[in-house]
Amino acid sequence: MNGLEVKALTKSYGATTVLDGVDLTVPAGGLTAVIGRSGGGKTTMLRLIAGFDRADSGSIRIGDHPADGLPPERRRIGYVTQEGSLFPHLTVAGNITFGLGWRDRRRQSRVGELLELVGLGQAYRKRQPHQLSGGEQQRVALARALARRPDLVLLDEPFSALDATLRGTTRRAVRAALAATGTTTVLVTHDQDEALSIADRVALLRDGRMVQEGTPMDVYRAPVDPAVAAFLGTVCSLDATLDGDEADTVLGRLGTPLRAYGKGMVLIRPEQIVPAADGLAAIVEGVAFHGHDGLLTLRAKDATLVARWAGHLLPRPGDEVRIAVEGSAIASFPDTVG
Amino acid sequence: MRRSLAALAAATAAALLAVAGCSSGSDSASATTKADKPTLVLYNAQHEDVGKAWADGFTKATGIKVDVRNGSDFEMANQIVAEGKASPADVFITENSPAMSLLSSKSLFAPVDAATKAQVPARYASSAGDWVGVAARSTVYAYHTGAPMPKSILDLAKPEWKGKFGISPSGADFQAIVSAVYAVEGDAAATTWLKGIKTNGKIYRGNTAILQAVNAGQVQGGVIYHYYWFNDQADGGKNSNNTKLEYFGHQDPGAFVSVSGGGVLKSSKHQAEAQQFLAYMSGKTGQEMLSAGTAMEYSVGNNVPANPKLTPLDQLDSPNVDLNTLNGPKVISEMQQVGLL
Amino acid sequence: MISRVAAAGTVRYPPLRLALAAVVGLLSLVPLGYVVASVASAGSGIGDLLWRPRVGVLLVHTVLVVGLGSAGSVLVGGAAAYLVERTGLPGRRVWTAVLAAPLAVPAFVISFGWSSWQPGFAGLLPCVLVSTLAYYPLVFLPVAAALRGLDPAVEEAARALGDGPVRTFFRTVVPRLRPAAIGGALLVALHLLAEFGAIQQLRYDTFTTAIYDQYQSTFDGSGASALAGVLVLLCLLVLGGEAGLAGRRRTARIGGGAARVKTARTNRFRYAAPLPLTVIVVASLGVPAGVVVWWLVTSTSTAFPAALLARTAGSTVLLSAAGAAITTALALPVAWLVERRRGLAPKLIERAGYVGNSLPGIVVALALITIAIRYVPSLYQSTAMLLAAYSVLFLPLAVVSLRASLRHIPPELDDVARSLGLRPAGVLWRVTVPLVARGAGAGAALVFLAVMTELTATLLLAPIGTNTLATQFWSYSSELHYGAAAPFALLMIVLAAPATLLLTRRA
Repeated sequence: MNGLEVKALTKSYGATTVLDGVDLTVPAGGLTAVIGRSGGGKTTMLRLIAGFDRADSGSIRIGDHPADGLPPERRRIGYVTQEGSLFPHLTVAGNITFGLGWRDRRRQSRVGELLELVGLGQAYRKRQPHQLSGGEQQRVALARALARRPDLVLLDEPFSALDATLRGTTRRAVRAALAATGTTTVLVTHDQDEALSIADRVALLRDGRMVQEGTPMDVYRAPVDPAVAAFLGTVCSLDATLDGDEADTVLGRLGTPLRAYGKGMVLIRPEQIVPAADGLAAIVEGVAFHGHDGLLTLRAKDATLVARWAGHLLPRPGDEVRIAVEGSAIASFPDTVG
Repeated sequence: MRRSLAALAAATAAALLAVAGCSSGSDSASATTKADKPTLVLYNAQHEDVGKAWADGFTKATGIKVDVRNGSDFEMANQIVAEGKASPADVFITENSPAMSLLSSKSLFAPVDAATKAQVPARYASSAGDWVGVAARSTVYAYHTGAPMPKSILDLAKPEWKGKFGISPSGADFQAIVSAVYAVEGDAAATTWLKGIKTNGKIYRGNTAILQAVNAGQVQGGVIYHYYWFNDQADGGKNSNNTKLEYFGHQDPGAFVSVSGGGVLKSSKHQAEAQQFLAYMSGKTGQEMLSAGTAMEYSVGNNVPANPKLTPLDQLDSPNVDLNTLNGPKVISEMQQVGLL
Repeated sequence: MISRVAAAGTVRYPPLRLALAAVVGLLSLVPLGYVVASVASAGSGIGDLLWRPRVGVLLVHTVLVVGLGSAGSVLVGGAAAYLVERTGLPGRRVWTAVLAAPLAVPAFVISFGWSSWQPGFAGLLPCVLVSTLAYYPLVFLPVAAALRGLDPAVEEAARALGDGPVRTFFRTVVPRLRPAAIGGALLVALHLLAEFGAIQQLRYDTFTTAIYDQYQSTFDGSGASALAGVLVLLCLLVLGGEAGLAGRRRTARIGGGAARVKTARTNRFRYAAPLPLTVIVVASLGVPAGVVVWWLVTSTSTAFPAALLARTAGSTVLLSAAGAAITTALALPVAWLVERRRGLAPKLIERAGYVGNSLPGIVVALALITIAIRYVPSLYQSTAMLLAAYSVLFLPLAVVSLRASLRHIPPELDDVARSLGLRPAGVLWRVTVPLVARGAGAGAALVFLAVMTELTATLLLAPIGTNTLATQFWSYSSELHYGAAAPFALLMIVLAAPATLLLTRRA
């Protein structure tokens, strides 16, 4: 059974088409990250699934029930926003039990269990939202969303307002809580690292259409076009002569995912370019140092290459290095003109 | 937060209930007394204390309760016209007769009981027999002691009086005096006079304010009714000790005696009680409250002499004016055109 | 991504809230409709009533009082705010409360104080003086709040760029105070257009007092409607002028600002400041209070009719509380729609509220009376009618306060609450209402004060036998029974004080 099925969803605001026939299927219990640039329609899609807005056409099925036409309060969803949106007039416990019945609110049923689920201690019960850090607020927001045992949890950029350190721990805590409850989840984000690291599946939304959907590894390693490839991480593009399943490039002959012939281009990830004593000579033009690793701009035979090397291996600008490619190209494209 | 919210809600509810209780209070009171006696509604354009004294006296004498709504002559007269058949008023009393004539001309009064009419001389009652006088007041010129005074109220329109005297044109009192000038002098002469008054007079709000200004010497004199002066004298004269009164006499329009009228509304559902109240006000008890009380207005009832401190009405040599010819709306409109309103 | 408002609230309006707000908006338009209809029905006769010298005189008078009174309020209120906030004056909090206190004293009590003390105190300049003394807090509070909230970094930047302290003040501080000052001036101007008691007492004529005179002579005659029509045009002019001056920014009204930055600034006016401030306080509070007490002690007409005082105070408080509660409740859907939904409907509804607010009480009362007599006789002379008039008159006071607090509530909270199983009504009750409680309290306090000191609508609409402190005071003081009037004035000030204190605390 699927946790969420979205079919041919369209939505326009005035003359602007925001969603143009979007399909999305999330397996029950799975976490699918919907990624795309700002303005690509991610949030609109989430709001349509939640029922805050109405689609112009298309259908939405949550769990085992069709959701079309239902108001948000009857869709059995949980919703976590960018800022957490805790109710400022209620304590943590009041927030968590907000969606429960009157009796459960008084007894504060399940507060302890839910706090534990999101990795917070019992001491948090009586705190006010403004006494919590951003990460804690997001955990409480998730606990609140999970309190009603929703069929589907919608996360709208829940980590983007957090600083780098908090983001990592909060992400892990949220992932763990969702996995523990086995709740079907849609995560909307513009952060590809986030999507790749915590999602079971990744769906890429661009200009109101779903461009690609698959496991993080598939999508990262086999993007459907250069734009998708670039969106998911830095790429290094090489002019190539395509020759069936392989291509000839400045770095030698590489395997390609698609069969094609003639002049074209192949993409590789920078981390595929490694130091090799017997490799191609290249001049280091620039080094962007990130501590654990760094991005090198290299020049070899009139081609500009980008490589990612571990921190301790990084050369200095002006050095000559010898390089080789590991693995196959992640994408290849014949020149469209030809 | 929660608790304060609940408190707010409770306070609101309590306030609403209380207000509802207030507003229905008079209804329920009248409902409980309906079995025996109704509650009358008096539209009172007379001075609040005069109207209240009559209402209280009547309630004491008969057990019939009277609710009083206070206002001014034309305000209430026009209000009754607007209310029409739905008017809550049973009885209407004014300070001056033009507002009574207005209702009379619209046939909104019920005929006055013959016995009541017999209590008041005909010259102080409607010739149509639908209202009677309940009090009277004389026009006077109050002047700062030593200041010159005009021979006639008509003189005040002459250039030499510019800026020397005060009037209160927004009040029904002065409007009644103007209507007398129209009745005595004719339209053309009266309008010319009114323009002069507009040019010459200093505007005050209310007769007391005029008297106070005259007493303080801010203005030489002013056109008011007599009882403002007598009232202040009775109170110690703080606003009148430096002033004297001139009764114009000689049947000058400025010697006009204005009659306060009382009538029963045709639309009243309590005709008998309303007539009873009117009879009380114009009768011996009601009139003696005027002559013996502190109001200093003239009593008009037969055989009830005025307060002994006042110059008797028959010595004032006032002009003969048919009260029903005093045309309130026309005077208002003329005053609007001249710019006094 | 679409902007926040549009994302949270799209085109759809919650039908119940829209309907409620629309009803409120229509109610606000009743007086305007009445004025238009009666001017139209009077036909050519209206020309005679309008094209006469008297109207010209009234126009000049009204413009003078409104213009000079607003200017005076900006000067006095702005200077007081500067002295309190920027000189390092000791006892800042106390000064703030004391300087805001004239809000608790109706303008007609201030004019009563001055004119009964100095009988010659009448005419234009006294009107301007009393207007300024009565209404400068409407400028003082927002400007002081704005001064407190200004980011000092901007001034520091100007100093670093080479400007001296005076130049810095005029180049960086004054421009940022503009919205607050203009917003306050608008409130003052609208109050003065509708001001009746003080101006009547000071024997000056404006449209509002002239309308009252017309009413006294003709009840609902066309003369009053004609003058009211001109007054409406003046109101629209003022509203338009404010929009032009301030653009769309309407920041820092009463209770708006938050004290973000606390900087103890000191300058050479520190010890001189109390002198002008004392003059302001003595003129606006000392004189009226002193004169009221003086009349209490010395006047022959002084009386303490305990039963009457208690009954009048009781009905005043009840009417004010009920008026405040109802008006605030009616304002909630309007404020919600305006803050949360785009489109024409919310804007129109809010503007309609301003129209009702800018009309004098007497016009609103006349409109309601006329309609009640003709169409709903059962409401005629009822408390409900009076409360409806208060709502029409004072709705914007509550809407402004509610909008300010609604603005601070992220719209996502509504969405989250919906996702947690609440229907829209539940969201309103469990999320919106608790969060706007403070703003609602401030709005209710403003309405409470306004109702308590309301005069003309109450005079016309109060059910038989219902008097308020204001009307009772008015009836005694216009008969010059100062001693009898004094206890009512005193009670009014005492009862208004807590609500005023509440407002200054927030500011």
